[in-house]
Amino acid sequence: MRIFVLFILLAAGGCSKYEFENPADVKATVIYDKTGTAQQVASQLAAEGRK
Amino acid sequence: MKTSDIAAVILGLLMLSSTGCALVDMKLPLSYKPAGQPSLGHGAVEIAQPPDPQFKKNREGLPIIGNVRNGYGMHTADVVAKDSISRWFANSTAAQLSEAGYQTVVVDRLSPTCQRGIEIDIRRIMTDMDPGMFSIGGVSQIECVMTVTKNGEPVEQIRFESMADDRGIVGGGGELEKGLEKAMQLWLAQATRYAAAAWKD
Repeated sequence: MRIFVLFILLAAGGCSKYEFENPADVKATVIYDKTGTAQQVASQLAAEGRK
Repeated sequence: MKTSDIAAVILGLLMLSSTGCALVDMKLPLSYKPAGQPSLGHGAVEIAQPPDPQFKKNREGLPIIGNVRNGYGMHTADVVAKDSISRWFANSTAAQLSEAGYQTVVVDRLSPTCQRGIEIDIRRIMTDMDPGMFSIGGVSQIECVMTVTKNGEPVEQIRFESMADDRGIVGGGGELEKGLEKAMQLWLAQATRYAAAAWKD
């Protein structure tokens, strides 16, 4: 039992923040937009992300 | 403590510490397979090969792009890019735009009157080995600024920050390579949407 607890403690030392989740993410920040299309694309992408 | 207990502890420690343990730099190939994308447009696009980013280099002169960690999360070595980072960005952008329907060419500099062009400024690449209890991951981040040009004029500039993870049991570096590829796919899938919309008449 003590050995088992020791292994759990040792293994927990290598616990990952992301092991059980998918951290995939992308963020786009428009710096300038002379065509006026970026806002429209950003809205479409946001709507698709909510689906 | 019995001898068998001590042997079990040593065996356990060896198994735990072997996960991702390395003392030499990991040379990572940079690959890219375009994310599936519907046709967004057509026509020729020039992609300017970005300048090589000024990253810290290892003793062999290869750019450091991440951390190798042992089973306890301690940094043991660096991850270095085996291939050219600027060529990876240019070729990946070209591949993604081709997937979206464009005819792409990678150039040193955009021609002054090119109808459609892309310039990229590479700001950050980081891939971090992420050892867990049951798997080893590669958490990768990319940050860059894309400038879209139309008829020789810059019309749009967007900063992208993407993050992706890939996990496996063995941890031979494949997870880091795939994590970086996923991070590249994430920003490029959005970037082609922005660029295609800006190029539309």
